[in-house]
Amino acid sequence: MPTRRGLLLSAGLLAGSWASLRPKAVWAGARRDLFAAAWMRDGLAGFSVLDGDGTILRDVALPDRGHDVAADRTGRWIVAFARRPGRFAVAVDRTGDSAPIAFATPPDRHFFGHGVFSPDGALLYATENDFDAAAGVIGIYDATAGFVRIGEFPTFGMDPHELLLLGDGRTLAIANGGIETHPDYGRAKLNLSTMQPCVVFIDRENGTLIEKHNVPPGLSQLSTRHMDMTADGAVWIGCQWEGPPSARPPLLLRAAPGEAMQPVEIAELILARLSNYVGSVAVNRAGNSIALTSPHGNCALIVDAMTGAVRRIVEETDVCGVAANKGGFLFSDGEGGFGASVTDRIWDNHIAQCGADFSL
Amino acid sequence: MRRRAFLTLAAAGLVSTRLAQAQSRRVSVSDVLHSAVRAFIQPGYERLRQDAELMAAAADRLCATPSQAAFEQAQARFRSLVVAWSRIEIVRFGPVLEDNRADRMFFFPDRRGIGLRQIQTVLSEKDKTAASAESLATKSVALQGLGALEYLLFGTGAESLATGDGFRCRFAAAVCRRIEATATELAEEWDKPDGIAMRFAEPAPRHADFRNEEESLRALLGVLINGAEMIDDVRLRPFMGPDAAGAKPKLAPWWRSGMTGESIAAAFDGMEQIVDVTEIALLLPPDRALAVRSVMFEFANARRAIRKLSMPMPQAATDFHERQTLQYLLIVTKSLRRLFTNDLAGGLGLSAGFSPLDGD
Repeated sequence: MPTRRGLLLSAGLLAGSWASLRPKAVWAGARRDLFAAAWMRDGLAGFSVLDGDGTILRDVALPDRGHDVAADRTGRWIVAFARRPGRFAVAVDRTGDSAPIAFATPPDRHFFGHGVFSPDGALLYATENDFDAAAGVIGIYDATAGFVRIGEFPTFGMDPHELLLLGDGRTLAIANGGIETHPDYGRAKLNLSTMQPCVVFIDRENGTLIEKHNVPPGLSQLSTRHMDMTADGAVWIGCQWEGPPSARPPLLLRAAPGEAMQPVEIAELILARLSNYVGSVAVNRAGNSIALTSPHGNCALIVDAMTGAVRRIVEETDVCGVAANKGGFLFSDGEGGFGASVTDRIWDNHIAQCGADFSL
Repeated sequence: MRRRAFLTLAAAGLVSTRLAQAQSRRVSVSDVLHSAVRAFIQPGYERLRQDAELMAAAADRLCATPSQAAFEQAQARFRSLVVAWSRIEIVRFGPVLEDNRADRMFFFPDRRGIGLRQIQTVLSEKDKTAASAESLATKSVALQGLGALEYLLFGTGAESLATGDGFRCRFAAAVCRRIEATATELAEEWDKPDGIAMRFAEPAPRHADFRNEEESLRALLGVLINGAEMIDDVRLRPFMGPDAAGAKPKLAPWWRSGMTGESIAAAFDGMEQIVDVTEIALLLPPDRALAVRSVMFEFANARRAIRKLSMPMPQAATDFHERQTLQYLLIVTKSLRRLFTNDLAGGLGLSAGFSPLDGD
């Protein structure tokens, strides 16, 4: 089991390294859209903070491959999570020169790669695997105390992946992908014949299950994985199909507290281009368009949130990361593309928004 | 007949010779896809169907006239069936993904012992619905496949079959019929003139699963890449544990029947035959063409390592000296994964989606 010091050492994160990576002139008074994303390059892993042009403003080393990044709304923390079945996370304090904080799940849990902060930035909620019990949990970490883990609650399903904090600041929406994995078996999927994916709404303050939305009948192999939300409280769920490739299931679902989960109908010929795999989902700032990316299909669809009509198809090899920006959407890919820039790294699956007004 | 030609070719060590001769020629993607169907997939499923039929007949004979000889014949048929399945099991696209057929044939790994508990419950309660193929078809997939049959033929109390254990034998016979039914479905689906074989080998935009040659080629490469990954992550590593003292032989597939090593050898054989009969290496650009020699070299290394073991593979993991051979086999398997991903898929410009960097 890696120790915390071991994680820090392997990440090159012990005192001093953070400050040396920080080009202050670039950061001072920055008032622009900022994004963060994990990457791999020449066998090394890290994450970057970038502007909307894809200019890399800051690099932070990670001990192994990361997945998603979470930023708190107060503008202080950026946390990168290990990709499953990794156990590490690295938090960067944007308000000072202190070294990044590396923390980890308990030995009998691992991250799924996603997390969200409470509105005040004090608590971090991360999707985790209680792998011996094959049960999903939300790990709770105290950002005010060095990200010590202070508790957990169940996700009422298996394989929780992305989670969102809804507009009320209290309700968590969690996509339980339904796929059993265990670190003893690498990334092998162990229960494809008995999957039960669902989306749950949970009160983060007491862990109470508010609602559970199972995937529509006949679609038990439709793994619910990535989400974004619109201002009306609806969550839009991008799915990955674990059944036969010859099937053409819906890949975008809509769920909201108090409303039944519904598939969003997309014309079959266009849906086919996603190769039954959505890697990331984002809603635009106007809240009327949803981007679905498919690195397997080498394309992204921009879908009308009201009608499901496809407004645009973006063709890009290995595209997966997506976030809303001023012009609509910003994409990244596995060939170095980040927005209009071409970089020297393989961008991981997600782009996190880090706000616009933070003095870094 | 096709099968015999196959085995003779491999046994005579002609593989590398044939490849060497082929180096001076070129093949098309279409040639490769058609060869995969004609010379590997269809004969592989046909052999599985035949062996399943022979297995069912042997079980019927055992039930009708219990004897030590009939019992041993049934066990021998089972071993042959395991080899047939292990050779074609690496194919994870097409009909095997429909109707949970892969799990229906072999529910593994059963990390939480669900299948074993179900089998023991059926035996202890003499559940008549499990002793008829028709009603068994509606029960758990873990009761309908090779894992259940292995327990009945080799697990605790199996020797009673030789002296007449009516219920256990009827249960085993019903499992055999279910296996035969699944194997027959697989063979027939692949033999349909306008079915999966056509869609795979002659991809077209109108097909839901294989719309172009790249998608078919990806599926074929996936057999190799995912096959090596399966051997590494799911078949070998879990039972090997961290060291000889920590090995868990009962996590090995087929430990009851002593077929662990032969099944893994059969999977390597299957992959080798795909590389050989499809001549896929001829699609590579000249600077990658030699990679196939490395691939064949590693297949030979894997074969030698398995043969070198002087005790059953699961037990070898617990022995300090024998374990070294297994660790070498892991290295070879990893090397093959790298060669398939970097040199074959990479050489064909198809590495995206196969590397460990693939989505989540």
